[in-house]
Amino acid sequence: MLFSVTQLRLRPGGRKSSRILLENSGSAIFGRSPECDVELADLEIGLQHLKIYYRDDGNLFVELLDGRSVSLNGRLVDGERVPLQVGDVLGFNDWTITIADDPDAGQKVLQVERAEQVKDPSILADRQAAFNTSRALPSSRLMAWAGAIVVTIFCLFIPWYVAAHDADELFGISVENADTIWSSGDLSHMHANLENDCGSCHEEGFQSVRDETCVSCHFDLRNHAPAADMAQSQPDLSGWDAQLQNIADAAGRPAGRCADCHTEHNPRHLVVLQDGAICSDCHVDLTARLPETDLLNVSDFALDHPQFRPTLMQVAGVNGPETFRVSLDDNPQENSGLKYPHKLHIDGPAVLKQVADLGDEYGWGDELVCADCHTPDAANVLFEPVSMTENCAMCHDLTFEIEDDGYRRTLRHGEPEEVIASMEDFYLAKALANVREAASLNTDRRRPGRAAMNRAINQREMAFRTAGLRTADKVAAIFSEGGACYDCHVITPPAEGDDPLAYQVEPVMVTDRFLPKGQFDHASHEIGNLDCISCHRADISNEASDVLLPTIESCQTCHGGQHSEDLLPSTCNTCHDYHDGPHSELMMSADDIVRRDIFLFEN
Amino acid sequence: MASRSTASGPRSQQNFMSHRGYLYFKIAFALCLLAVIAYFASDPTPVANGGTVVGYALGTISLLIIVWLSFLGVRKRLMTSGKWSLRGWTSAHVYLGLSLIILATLHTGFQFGWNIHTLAYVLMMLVILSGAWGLYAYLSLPIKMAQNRDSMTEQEMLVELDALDKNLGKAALPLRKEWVDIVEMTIRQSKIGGSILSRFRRNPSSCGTAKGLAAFKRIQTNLSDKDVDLVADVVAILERKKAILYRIRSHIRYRALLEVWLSIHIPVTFALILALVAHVFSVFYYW
Repeated sequence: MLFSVTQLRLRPGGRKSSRILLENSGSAIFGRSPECDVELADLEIGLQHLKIYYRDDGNLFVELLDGRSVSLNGRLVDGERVPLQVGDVLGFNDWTITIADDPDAGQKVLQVERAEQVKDPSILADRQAAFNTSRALPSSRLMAWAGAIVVTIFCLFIPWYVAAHDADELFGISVENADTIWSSGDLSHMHANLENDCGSCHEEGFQSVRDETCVSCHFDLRNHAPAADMAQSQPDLSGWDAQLQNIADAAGRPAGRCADCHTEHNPRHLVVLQDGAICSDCHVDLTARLPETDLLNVSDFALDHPQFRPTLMQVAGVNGPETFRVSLDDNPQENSGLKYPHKLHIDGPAVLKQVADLGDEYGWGDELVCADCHTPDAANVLFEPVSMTENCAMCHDLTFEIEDDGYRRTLRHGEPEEVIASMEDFYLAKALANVREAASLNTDRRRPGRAAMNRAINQREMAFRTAGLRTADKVAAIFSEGGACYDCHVITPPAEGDDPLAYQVEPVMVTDRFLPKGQFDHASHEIGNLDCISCHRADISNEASDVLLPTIESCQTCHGGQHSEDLLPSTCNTCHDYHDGPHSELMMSADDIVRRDIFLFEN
Repeated sequence: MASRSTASGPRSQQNFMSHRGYLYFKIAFALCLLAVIAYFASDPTPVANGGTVVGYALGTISLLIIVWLSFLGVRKRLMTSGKWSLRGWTSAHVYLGLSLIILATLHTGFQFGWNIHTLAYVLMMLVILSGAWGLYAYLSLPIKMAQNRDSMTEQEMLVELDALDKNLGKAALPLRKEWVDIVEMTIRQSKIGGSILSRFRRNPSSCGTAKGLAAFKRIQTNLSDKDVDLVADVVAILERKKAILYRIRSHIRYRALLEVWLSIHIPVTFALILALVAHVFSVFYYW
């Protein structure tokens, strides 16, 4: 018994063609191996997948060889050999083998057919898409929308909602301080507590921070000058600057706002503007615009700054001093009411002798130095007042009489009337004591009567008169050349015919700050070999009226203008303060300042 | 004597970079120079920032340039020529876009922080840098791509790959099962394209062809005489497949390098424009 094997192929149009693979065979092995009788080009099947053969009894059988499986009419075959009938269909992988009859040839035909291989169109498309980069990327359109929406919501809408409604919540979600994303930089340390509260300064949307807002906290700051003067002092802008100012005005930013000088959201140290141009805008020719001012024009410390004009005392009056400002170039003389030659106290022979005698007791060196009398104040900025008791009394003894037992009678300092009264009392008491003593020593018996009484009265009168003369002499002595008071004080003697004891001591006031419109810190100038004499020439000063201040040229040896490259760049703020400060009250009138800072010479 | 037109070179050799004798380069350069001079000549109080006169000016100019640049997307869809040709427009786009690096940086006054203003700046720089990459890619990659393709089309490359896979299938028919599995693995796992990252790899470690080739080379060291020729056929086909895969992946990589910047450039531009709206709005809201 024999059979043949044909392969059916589907042709375009649905027609099937048939090709003979094997003829007149009683046995055939189907597989992908070239050694098979029927070679099937399919990697999915076995090398020798199955065998179909006629047994001796004439029945056709199928036997699975190394193939994984085969089905008969759709049911898996599990026996090793299975008989086949005409019309049976064997199936494995994509393949079918149909058992048919060929009446012409009188034998069976095994029709091998491969199922139509349906190519997955998506696989083909994927192949093409391999070259298309955009297939691997999210859609640009989608990304653009997503980015734009995210930015709009989180950077525009939510911050605006928080800013406009002062809100903490939106749809029940916390959006606290969401508007801080709009901040263009940190605030200065002074305002750090406001960092998350934009509305505390930016009170209204689309409106610049207003001065009223600043002043609501900084209410104790003094203004720079009266508003009318400030307005009058503004420079006349022209051209480009004028246009800019017009725009700024129209935008609600007039000149002279707090924020002109105090800009926030910049590097932190810059909240107080140091630029001298801010000042010189007005002060460069202030006298032209504000003729009544007593200030002089200034624009730069090195190039255009007037000589220092200390505020000096004309008269140290009892009810406050009369002061005037005078340039150091004009040989200024001050009247403190004191006589104090500095030079004498540094190298005068009498002083040197005293220093030699008393130096050990008071801790002096070979000579008096500035620090022996001038003590820095607690802040080491200025100096404590010089005091008679602390600084002068050890040499300037106020003894006016030494008693027999060595007790020293001294005068009270600072109260001339009390001084005269106590001297009067003293000498009167002395005289009365003498009278009493004389009476007690006289043991002669005398006749009582008028004569004796008269004699006693005469003795008392004599004593009073002597005491009066003595007092007048002594008072005149201390208030005259060589006397204890006269050495240091300006004395007005009594006029002809007046009470001979009516000596007047001129009031004394010592200036604490000669330059009250500037701030000077002595401590920060303790550098190098600078000593007091370097700036204050006490060593050549013979008069108390000398003003021992350094001139501006002295400062300019170290301090340059704002843009100096070889000297310490110094702006207006280095010495002056726009508003006020611990040592500078620029805004106060000179009288105010001097009244506060000049005090009576201490006892 | 050379004619004038010869001396200036054939027009076809000019590209958009040198359009009209570098006109837009000159304009952009002049703009930057002016900005730098204004920045350093001005005396801002208290320190350079976007809120000074120069700051506002630089910000306004930069904003206008950004808005104009973003209209290239609209413009390129319109066909015109001559003075306002797309080439001229592109030339201006490139040079003015690059000039923003200087203009906008000066506008910041070198103050940066975690805020909307710096966000806008960062987005702008992202757009510019992606654009700069695109510029570099457009100017340099097409030549490399042509060398790599060697006048093959994308379709031809795919056809060759398919043909090699078919040959592999045939060559593998006589092989034993475990080797057939390797061959099938080389067909299944030799992926091209795929995710954006895998598109930048020309020799991915996961490539089935490379792995299969290595496996068959190991197998070749210990073969019976019967199998030597069979395996040698498969190895030869795999070698060819490896070469064509390298070429295809190089091509995909070049295309990705050429195209990927746009998917940053375009979406970030939209985010940038909205960030600029927020920037300007916030500045004047909290003035």
